Amino acid sequence: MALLEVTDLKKYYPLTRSFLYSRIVGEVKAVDGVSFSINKGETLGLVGESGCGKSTLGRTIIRLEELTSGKIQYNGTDISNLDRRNLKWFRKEAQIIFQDTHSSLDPRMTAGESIGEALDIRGIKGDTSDVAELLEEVGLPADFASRYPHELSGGQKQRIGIARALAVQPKLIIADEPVSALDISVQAQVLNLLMDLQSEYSLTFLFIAHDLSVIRHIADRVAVMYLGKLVEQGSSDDVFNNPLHPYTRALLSAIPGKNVERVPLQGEVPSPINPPRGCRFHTRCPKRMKVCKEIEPQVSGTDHMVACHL
Amino acid sequence: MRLTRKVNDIVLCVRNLRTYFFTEKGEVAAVDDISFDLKRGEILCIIGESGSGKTATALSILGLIDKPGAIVSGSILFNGTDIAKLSEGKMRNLRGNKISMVFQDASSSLNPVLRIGEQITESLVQHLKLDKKQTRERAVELLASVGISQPEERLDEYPHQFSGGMKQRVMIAMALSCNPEVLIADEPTTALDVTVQAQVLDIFKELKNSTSVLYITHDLGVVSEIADRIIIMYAGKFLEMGDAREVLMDPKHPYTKGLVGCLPSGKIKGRLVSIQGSIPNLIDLPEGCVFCPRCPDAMEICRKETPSETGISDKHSVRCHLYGST
Repeated sequence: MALLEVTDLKKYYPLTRSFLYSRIVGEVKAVDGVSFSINKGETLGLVGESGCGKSTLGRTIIRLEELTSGKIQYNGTDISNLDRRNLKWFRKEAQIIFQDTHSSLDPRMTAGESIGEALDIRGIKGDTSDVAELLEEVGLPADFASRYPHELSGGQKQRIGIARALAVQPKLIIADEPVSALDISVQAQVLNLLMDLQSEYSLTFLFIAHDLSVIRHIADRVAVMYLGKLVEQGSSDDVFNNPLHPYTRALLSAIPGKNVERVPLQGEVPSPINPPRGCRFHTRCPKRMKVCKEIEPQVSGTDHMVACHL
Repeated sequence: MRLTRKVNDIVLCVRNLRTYFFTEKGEVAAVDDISFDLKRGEILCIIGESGSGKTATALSILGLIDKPGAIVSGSILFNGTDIAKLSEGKMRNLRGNKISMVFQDASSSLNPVLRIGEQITESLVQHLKLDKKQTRERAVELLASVGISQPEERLDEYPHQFSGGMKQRVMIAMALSCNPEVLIADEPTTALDVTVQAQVLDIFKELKNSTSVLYITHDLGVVSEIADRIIIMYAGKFLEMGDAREVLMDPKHPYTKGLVGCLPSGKIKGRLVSIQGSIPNLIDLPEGCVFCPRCPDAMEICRKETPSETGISDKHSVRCHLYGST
């Protein structure tokens, strides 16, 4: 059963010009009609280049951003219109881990206080033994509780971030580029930790990353995002071994060090303020046809979905 | 005859380079006894995690180490001249001319209030003493060579009108403007998206014949794509060096093995080989081998003696007691 179901989610940011009074002159279509679902205990990997809207999507799902339209269902309950008070229970169900480990911890709080704060929310007064237990869970010694963020390395800070997320015993974790700021040797440790925690607590992950090899490693299913839309979605094996969308193919062939023939992509991602008409990828697509410039492709397929006229 | 050719093949020869930073908390050996040769037309990659001294090595070569840091000992021979001892004035003639550099963060390396054209032509005017018309022609040529379309118009635009990938191309064009013999690239694609990274890497691959490249990165994928030879650095020291293919296919040092194992290969959803612990504090380095506190194969001797360089083959050497002559 789907733990999280997202239907036609849109998130637009207004563009304002102000002189004497402000007026809306346009919209940034950061997320523009995205639908997917994640089953219990599953990891969905969300890939895309910078600016494609993957982080906004993650933040919108967890209701850190107000959605423009669409529907988010968690465990069968529609959470897309809940107000702050009614959202409280959801906050204990779903947590987010951020990319920037440094700015996501309060520099004036010790690691123990940071974790204790999260425990308070669960209703447990931040007892030192609980903090120690959580620290141990993420592979840090208990005496780390008295350390401040500046005394910790990047990998250790990310572990504290994970411990904070775990403190409320969530079921769904949105990991927004959790390892991309870490050194490779540490990156492997944190990925191992996340996988261990997942099997221990049967967590469900939405794993956002731009690094395809990380996604390949951790995800059961993969969704590929381009300019606010999902272009392809399917099981990890299907998407990586048999990519259907030209963008996915180009992305996979661009992984350095793979001896595959490169699918050349021209230019760069267009602006989401004024996305190209028709298929959004047609400006860079090596296989574009006439129809691509005019009509937006619909999603086809059930298990392995793709939005492409090909 | 043969001997002279061999000497000429080496553009840059670094011997026993030590660059220390004298901080309030103590002495930091950012670069500790590094030696390598850069041959004409090759891409040599320096690989290391943050704090391993790879950028400090690059800055030492360019003579850009500022106080409290200093090159303590060693020599950097560029075409036979020791540039570690050159005066700032003479160094300035080399920098950007014969040896140039591309930095990681292109957007903060460009001046936001100057047009792209002015910034590219700066070193042309400085070093090549070209006149106005010639510099402009050369600038157009350079922009076109790094794959920027409509270079003529683009010259009159400002950095904020360029995307991240294009700014990095501009930086490369600037670095190449005087046909340098050595190009030092410090993580030039780390901030870029994969598809754009692939385009930028192609530029480097095409360069190979005219310019020697010292490419600094932590991304082993990039390395396997472009490198001829590689140096693995850790805590200011080199641990393994050799032919790129040989080292990556058959790593000898436990650290290199760990790095290669850390890479999600994309085959199985299983645990990754990880290296325990984290990078040591450079002020308080462990005795003996710098890697021994994290090493799975650490022996008694590793905690006492610094391993010396051992040759594995004529193109591959390692600093590890596992391969010592004892």
